[in-house]
Amino acid sequence: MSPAPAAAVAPPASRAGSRAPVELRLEKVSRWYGDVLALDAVDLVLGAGVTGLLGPNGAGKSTLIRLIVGLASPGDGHVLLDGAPVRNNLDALARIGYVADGDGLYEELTARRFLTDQARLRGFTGAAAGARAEECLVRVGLKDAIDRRSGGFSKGMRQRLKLAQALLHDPDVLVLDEPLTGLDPVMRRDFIRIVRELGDEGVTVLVSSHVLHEVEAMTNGIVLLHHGQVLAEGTVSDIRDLLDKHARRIRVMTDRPRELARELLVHDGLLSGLEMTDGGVILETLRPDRTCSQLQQLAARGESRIFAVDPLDEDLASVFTYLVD
Amino acid sequence: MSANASRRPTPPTGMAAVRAAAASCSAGALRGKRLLGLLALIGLPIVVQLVLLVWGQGRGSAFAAFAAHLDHSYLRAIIPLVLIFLGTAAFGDEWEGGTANYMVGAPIARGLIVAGHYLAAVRRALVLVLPALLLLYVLCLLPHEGAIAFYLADGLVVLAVVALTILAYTAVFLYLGLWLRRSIISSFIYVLVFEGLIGNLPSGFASMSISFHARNLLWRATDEAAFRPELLQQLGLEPPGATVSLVTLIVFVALFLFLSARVLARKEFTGSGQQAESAPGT
Repeated sequence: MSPAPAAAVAPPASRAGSRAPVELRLEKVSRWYGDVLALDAVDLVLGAGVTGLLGPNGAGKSTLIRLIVGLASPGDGHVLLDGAPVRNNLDALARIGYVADGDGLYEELTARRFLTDQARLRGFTGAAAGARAEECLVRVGLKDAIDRRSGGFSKGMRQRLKLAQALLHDPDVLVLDEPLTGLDPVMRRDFIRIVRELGDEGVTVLVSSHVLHEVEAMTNGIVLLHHGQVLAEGTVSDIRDLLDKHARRIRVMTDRPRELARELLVHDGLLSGLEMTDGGVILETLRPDRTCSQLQQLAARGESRIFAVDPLDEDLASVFTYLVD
Repeated sequence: MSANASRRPTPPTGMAAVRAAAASCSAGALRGKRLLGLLALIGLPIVVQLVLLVWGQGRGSAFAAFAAHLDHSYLRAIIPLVLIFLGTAAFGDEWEGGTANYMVGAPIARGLIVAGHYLAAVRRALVLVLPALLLLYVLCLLPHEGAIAFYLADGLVVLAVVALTILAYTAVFLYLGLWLRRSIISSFIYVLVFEGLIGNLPSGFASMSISFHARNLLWRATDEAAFRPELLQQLGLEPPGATVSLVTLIVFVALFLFLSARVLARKEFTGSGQQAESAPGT
């Protein structure tokens, strides 16, 4: 994979779910705020399943999301849901659910009343609105708080309530803007589980975050956004392949680190750097596979006892750091 | 149309959408300090009339006392002030509370969203103001035997004109609340400078003042001196007829609702449900 734009971020085949496929397409989308270019000719195609939208604060994630859900219009380009523009398109809005990054709720309303009102806005009538509200509240784990005022909700409960609101109309596209911010670990785990379930059901889910491991826990498909541009997109393994262009670090725990380092340095071009640590050595290499192969041979010869080999740069944080740098 | 459409209901249209939008923004809008403040404002003339009753003082005839309260307190000050808060809050509360995304994210035409918020704000204003006027009517006419029944027709006309005035003010302030960030200050300036000063001058500006037309309608309907546009008459100018004032107030409602729908349709939500600005190039 390369940072080439407009490649569809497709979910694994098992995640197709029972829904008809949906295509959310951004074509050369740009957006300015005065003289500031928040999004710069973004091309992106999203299909069913969960996609993580990653980027540091100010990367343009929230702007991108507001264009996708029709809250703002692109200065240039098009945001299309199955070929139709999203902005001011009621058919498109009826298919999109959105969890905003803000904390806004009607504080004085109970969870049930809030969702029932919202269900009516989505077309549920009479008792069906209340029943649907209750169904969604149960799904997000707010059954016990159904008749409590949302003003007294914890951050995690507020996020769940916002998610329930976004699920009311069974959306084809669900957009979550920094949904895990401020959640405790238990709430975070439950939230991640729900998002993954939705992806498995075939909903097109876009989750933004600047915390990489959060997104990694939800999805394999990611889009990296930086300075308003798509830096890279694809699966986590695709992104990892980009590491081939960068030196990768491997920590080797051994009883004879100096000897091991000397053995490896003999091989021309294998290491680009090394660092001695307590009980081992950290190797920097542009050829991780060959390096590991050499380590296996050294271990087999018994010249050094190797206790552990840990790749240090396999997480998304490292990938992101490399790409941004 | 999505192949998954059969799973979800058809979004509401027409009055169903207006009612849904009104319901979603109504609950809790009148609460806490804001409600107490509005009740105190609206109840002030009632307290004054109670004091006058206790001291045994009146103002001319029974209906004249009611008309004087209505003109000096409600039409010139209280109703515009109440509507500043209720009208601008119709959307202002959504911006401040960060709930605008629920409103504009719904698959409802933005004109219908405006109509829903307008309906909710009007309903709140009517619920607050009309009972207070009824109470004041009773308090003013109670000491005069048979006056309540005698002036009943005039009393009903007054309520109808006040309701129309509320409709017009709500439309104006709802628009200002949508259009301007500091809408309360702008609305105060509008009430003080335009409605209070320029609108009372014997000039063409008077015909653009809601309170002028409301008072003119009341004068034409009840012939009560308190509502008479004396300044115009002193200058030998003929005040407009009742139909002109009625149509003007209706035009206020239609024009500002149209403008509000236009503003909301072009609104860009670029912050956390709070910031909003015009669309690029608009």
